[in-house]
Amino acid sequence: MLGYIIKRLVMAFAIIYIVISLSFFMIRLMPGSPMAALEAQLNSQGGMSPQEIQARVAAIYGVVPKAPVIQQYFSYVGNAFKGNLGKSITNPGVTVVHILSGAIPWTIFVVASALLLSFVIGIAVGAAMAAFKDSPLSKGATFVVSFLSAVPNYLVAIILLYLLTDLNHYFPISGAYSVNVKIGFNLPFIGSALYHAILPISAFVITSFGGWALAMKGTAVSVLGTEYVRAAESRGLSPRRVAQSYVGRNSMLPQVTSLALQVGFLFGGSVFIETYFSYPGLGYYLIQSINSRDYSLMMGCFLLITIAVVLSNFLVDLLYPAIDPRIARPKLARRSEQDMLPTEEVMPVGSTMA
Amino acid sequence: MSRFLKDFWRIARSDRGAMVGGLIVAIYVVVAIIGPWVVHVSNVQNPADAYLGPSWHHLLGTDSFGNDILTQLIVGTRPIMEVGVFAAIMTVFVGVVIGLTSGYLGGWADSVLMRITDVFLTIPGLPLILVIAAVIRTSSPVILAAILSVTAWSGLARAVRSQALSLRSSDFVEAAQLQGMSLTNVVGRQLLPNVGPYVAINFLLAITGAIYAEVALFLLGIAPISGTNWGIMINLAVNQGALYTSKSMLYLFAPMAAIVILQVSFVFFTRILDSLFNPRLRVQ
Amino acid sequence: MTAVGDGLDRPSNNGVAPPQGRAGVKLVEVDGLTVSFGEGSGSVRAVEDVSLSVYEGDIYALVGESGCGKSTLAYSLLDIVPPPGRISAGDVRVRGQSLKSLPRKELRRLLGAEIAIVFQAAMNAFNPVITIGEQVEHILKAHPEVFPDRQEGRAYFEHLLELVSLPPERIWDSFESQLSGGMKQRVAIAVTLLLKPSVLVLDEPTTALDVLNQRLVIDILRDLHETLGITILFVTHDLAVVAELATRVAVMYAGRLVEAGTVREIFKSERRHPYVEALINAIPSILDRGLTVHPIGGQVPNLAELPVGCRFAPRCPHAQEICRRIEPPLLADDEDHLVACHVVNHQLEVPAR
Repeated sequence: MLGYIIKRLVMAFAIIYIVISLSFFMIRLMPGSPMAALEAQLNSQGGMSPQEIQARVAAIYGVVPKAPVIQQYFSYVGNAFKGNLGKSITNPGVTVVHILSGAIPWTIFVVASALLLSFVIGIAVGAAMAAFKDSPLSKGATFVVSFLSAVPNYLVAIILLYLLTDLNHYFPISGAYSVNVKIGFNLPFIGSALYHAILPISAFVITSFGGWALAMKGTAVSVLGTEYVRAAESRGLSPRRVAQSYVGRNSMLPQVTSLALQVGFLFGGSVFIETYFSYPGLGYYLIQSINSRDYSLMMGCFLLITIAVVLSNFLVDLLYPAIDPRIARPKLARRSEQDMLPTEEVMPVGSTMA
Repeated sequence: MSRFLKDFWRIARSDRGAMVGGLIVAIYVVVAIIGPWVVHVSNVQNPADAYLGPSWHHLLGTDSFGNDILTQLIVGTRPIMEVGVFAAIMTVFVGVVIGLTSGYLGGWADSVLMRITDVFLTIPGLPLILVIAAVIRTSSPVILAAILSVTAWSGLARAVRSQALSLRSSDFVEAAQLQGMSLTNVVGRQLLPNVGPYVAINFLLAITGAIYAEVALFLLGIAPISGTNWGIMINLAVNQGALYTSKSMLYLFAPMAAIVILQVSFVFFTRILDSLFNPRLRVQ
Repeated sequence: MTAVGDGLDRPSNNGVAPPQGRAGVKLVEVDGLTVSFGEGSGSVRAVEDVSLSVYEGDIYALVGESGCGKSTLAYSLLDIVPPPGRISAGDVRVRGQSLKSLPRKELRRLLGAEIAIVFQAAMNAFNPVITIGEQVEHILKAHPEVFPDRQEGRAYFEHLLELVSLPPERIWDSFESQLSGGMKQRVAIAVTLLLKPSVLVLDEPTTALDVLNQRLVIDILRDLHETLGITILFVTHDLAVVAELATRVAVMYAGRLVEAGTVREIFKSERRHPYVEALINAIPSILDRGLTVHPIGGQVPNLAELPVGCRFAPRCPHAQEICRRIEPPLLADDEDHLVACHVVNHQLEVPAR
C-alpha cells in the first residue's frame, strides 16, 4: 500500500519537473525565442546597461540570458521550485505567482463544483437509465445524453453567454464576483460568487454529465446481470441492500477511474469557459497571456494547471484503494486483464485529445 | 468480408440513429472533398447586406460582411476535416505502435514506455496544445495535426497495451512464436487484427477529439486566421460583435450547428462499429 | 396440475390426471410450470408444463443436456429466473406456500431460510468488494428471525465452515478474490446453509471443478444430508454424480420432463424413456477394451422451432406415427415411476387414481 502511494508521488513530482523543464526549453530555445526577443527589444530601446538588461530579463523569465545554458536551466528549475516564476510583462512589476495565486481559487472552485455536479447528476441519471433499461424513457434519455456529450463545451459556453448574458442580461458579463461586495465569508460575497459562477459551471455540467450517465448505465447494467447480485437476491436481501452494497458499490468503482481522466479534461476546458465568461481563473490568464505574448505568465499558467491536474489525479489515486479493497492488496487479488482496460465509456467529445 | 458487410447492414438497419449518423458523416466527407471546387467564398464586403435572414439567395443568411453563410460553411468543411483526419491518423499510429510494442515486449521496455505514456496521459492536453501552438505559430495543417495529437495517443497506447498483454499469452500468439515468426509478423498479423476493431472505433473518436481541439484553437485565434473554416467563422462572428445582437443568430449558430452535427454523427456512428466488433452485442 | 377434488380446470399434462404423490412431507412442489423468454410470437419456453415434487429427505437430481431447461427450472424454485425470462404459467410451492401469490416481503423471508441455492462454480457468487463476513452479516440482518443474536449466527457459520473443511479464521475477513475456486464453492455451500434451509438447490455443483474438488463436494453434500437432514436438489449433466449421490432423478429434454423416478429406476428399469436409455448407454464402460462410444445421433431441437408431437421423436430409434403427432403425457406405474413416451406406456391404462 505504501509502495503504491510512493510510486504515485514520485510520478507526480516527475511530471511537474518535466513540465518545468519543458517551459524552460520553450522560452529559451524556441526559434524566435521570447527571451531573445525581449533582450533585443530592450537593447533597441536603449537607456539600459547590458547588466540591467540581463537583470530585467532574468527577473521576468527567471533566466540570465548570457549565462551558460546548463546554468540557466538549473537556475530556472531552482527558481520554479522556490516559487519564483518570473514577472509578468503585461502587468509590469507584478510576479507571475502573485497573479496566479489570485486566479487559482476561482478555477478550482468552478472545476470542482462542475466535476461534483456532473458526477452526481450523471451517476443518478445513469442509474435510472439502467434501472428502467428497456423503457422508451430510457431510450430517449440515452439519445439526449449522447447528444449532449458530443457537443463541445466551449460552444455551450458561447451559447449561454449569447442568450443569457449578452442578449438578455440575466447573468453578469464578467468577473468572479461583483465589485460591490467585500471579499470574505459573508453572505453577499458568497451569493455574488455563486451568481457569477452559475453559467461557467453550467456550461461544464451540461456537456459533462452525459459521459458519467452513459458510463454508469453501462456498468450498472452489467453489474445487474452478475451472479453475485442474483445470489444476494436469492438469500432474501432487501432490494435496498442489494442496490446499495451490491449493485451500487460495484457500479461506482469504475467511475472513479474516470474521475482522474475527467479532471484533466475539465481543467483544459476551463480555458475557454473562463475566457468567454471573463472569469478570472487560470485558464483566463492563460489565454490573455497567449494573446499578449506574455510568455512568463503563459508558462506559469500552464505549469499551475498541470500541477492542479497532477494533484487531483494523485488524490483520486489515493481514493481508489479506499473504495476498492482489492487494490490495497494487490498480491492476493487476482484481477483479470479485463479490469485493467480503461472503461469504454462515452467521454465528452474531445477528451481523447484534450 | 461479405459477411462483415452483411452484419454491418443488419446492425445499421436496427440502429437507426447510428445509420443516420453514418450517413451524415458521409455527406460531410463528400462536401469536404468537392465543396471548394463547387462553391467559392467571395471576398467582397457588402455591409449593406449584413445579417440578412434566410432567403432563396442566401439559404442560411449572411454574415457581418454580407457574405453568404452557407458557402462559407461548405468551403470551411475541408480544412476542419483535413486536420481532424491527419491528427487522428497520427494519434492512432503512435498509440497503437507504442501500445502493441510495449504490451508485447514486456519487461523493462514496457515499463519505460508506460512511464512515458503516463506522463503524456497526465499532462493536460488542451493547455499544452494551446501553449505549443502559441509558440509555434503554424499554418500547416500537418504540423497543426501533429500538435493536436501530442497527448492524445497516450490513452490509446494504454488500452492497446492492455489488450496486447492479454493476447500475448494466448495460444495463437504462442503458436506463431514457436514457428519462429518475426516480431513484425507477430505484431502485425497476430496482434493487430485483434485490436483492430477497438482501434477503428478510437480512430473515429480521435477525429472528433481533434475537431474539438482545432476548433478551439481557431476560436481563440491561436491558429492563424487564414482561409475559411467553422472555427474561424465563429471567431470572426464574436469579434464582430455578433454576440450583442439577435440578428446575427444565424451567423453564430450555423457553424456551431455544423460542428455539433458532425460530432454527434460520429459518436452515433461508432455505435454500429461497437456492435459489429463486439460479438456479444451482435447476437441480438 | 389438477389434484383430485381441486375443482380447477387447467389443461396440463395433456389432459391426463397426474399420479398421486408418495408419502412424506412435500417440501417443493412444481405445478405445471412454464418459463418463457421473450414476448408474443417470438417467445421461447425454456421450461414447459413441468410438474414434480421434492419430498423431505430426497436427494433429487435434475438431469439433462445443456439448454434443456434444468437450470431455469432450478432458478424458478426460488423465483430468480434472470430476465427476460419469466414464469408464464403454473406455480411453485415451497412448504405449501405458493411463490406466485406471496407478497415480496414474505417471499424474501423464504429465500435463504426455507430454500436456498448454490450457483454453478460459485466463481462469481460473492460481491467482490466486500468481505465474506460482511456478506454473511447482510444475510443475518435480513433474516433476524433465524438468528436474533448475530454473534450466534457468526458462530454457526464458522461451525459450517468446519463442516466443509475450511479454516474459519481465514474466511471471515477475506475477499472473494483471495480464495481459490474450490474454496469459494465450499464457502458458498456454507453460506447457503447458514439459515438452515430445508431445501438446498445446487446448480451444477461439480461441473466446473477438478476431480479432487468434485469428490470433496460430493462427500460434503452426502454428509450434510446425513447430519443436517437437509433435502437436496441438484442440477447436473454428469450421470456419474447422479449415480453416486442421488436418490431420485428427473430427466428433462427440450424443456419438458420426460422421466422421473428413483435412481435405481433411471439406471436399471426396463421401462425407461428412450432418451434416458440412450444417455445411459452412451456412458462408455470401463470394462470395454475398445472403448466404443454410442452417442445419440442428431441434435437437440431449437426451442424456437419445436417439432410437432414428441420432442425426442426425430432422434428416437423407436419413434412411431403417433409420436410425431401427439406429445406423450407423463404416466406413472405402480412405483410412481413417471415416463412420457407413447411406446413405453402403450401398455399402461390411464391410472384411475
